[in-house]
Amino acid sequence: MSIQEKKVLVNIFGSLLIFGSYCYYVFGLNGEENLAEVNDIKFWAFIILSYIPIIIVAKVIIYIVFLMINKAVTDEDDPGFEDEFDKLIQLKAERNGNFIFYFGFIAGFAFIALDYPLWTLFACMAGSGLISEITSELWKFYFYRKGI
Amino acid sequence: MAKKKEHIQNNIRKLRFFNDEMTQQELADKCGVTRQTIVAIEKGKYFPTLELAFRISHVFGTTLDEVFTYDSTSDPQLEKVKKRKKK
Repeated sequence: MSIQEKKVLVNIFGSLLIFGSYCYYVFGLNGEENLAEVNDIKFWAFIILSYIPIIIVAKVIIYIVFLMINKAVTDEDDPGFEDEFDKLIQLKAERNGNFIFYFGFIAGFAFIALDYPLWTLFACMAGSGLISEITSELWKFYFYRKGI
Repeated sequence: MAKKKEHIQNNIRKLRFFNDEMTQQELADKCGVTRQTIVAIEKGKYFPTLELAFRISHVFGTTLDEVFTYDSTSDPQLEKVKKRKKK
């Protein structure tokens, strides 16, 4: 398995771990106070704005740990750059993943139009964001394996 | 999508062999791409840009048509164009 394919799997694992941990922190550990505010738009703004730096820092840490373990086990270095093949795969995979996010975004507004509570909009957006990211990574894996 | 395209073949494996058994990593380093890209090109899973194709042929000191060969009779796209013209 190439380092690019391994990176894809690490990204999927990282996304699920970070999203799952954050959801557990917000709605599990602090669920009592937070669940009362799920229909407050300010609460969602705070949740989303604090998630962005957390996911960036966590992904950087996971990536560094992965590179260290990979280097120790396989003695394989990260190329450190993306060439035309990587960029084309990224472009195609993200295009395919984005369709899911568009669908989630529209579905969220449809829920609001049908008088569902506000939290359904943000739940749809967050859920589709995660699924879109995972789908995009799976497409990358497919393209690396099967070619373009 | 992602089907092996047989109308464009390459001789990279052979050329590497005749260049002191050059490794895929060495070729990748000389062309400024990753080894994965060379693997994909060699297996016919990816067609490089014209720029990279020229760079590969430059590394081997040959012309482009010695690295890549094109067979128009098995090009599915060309068949489609011909059918469209007939209509």
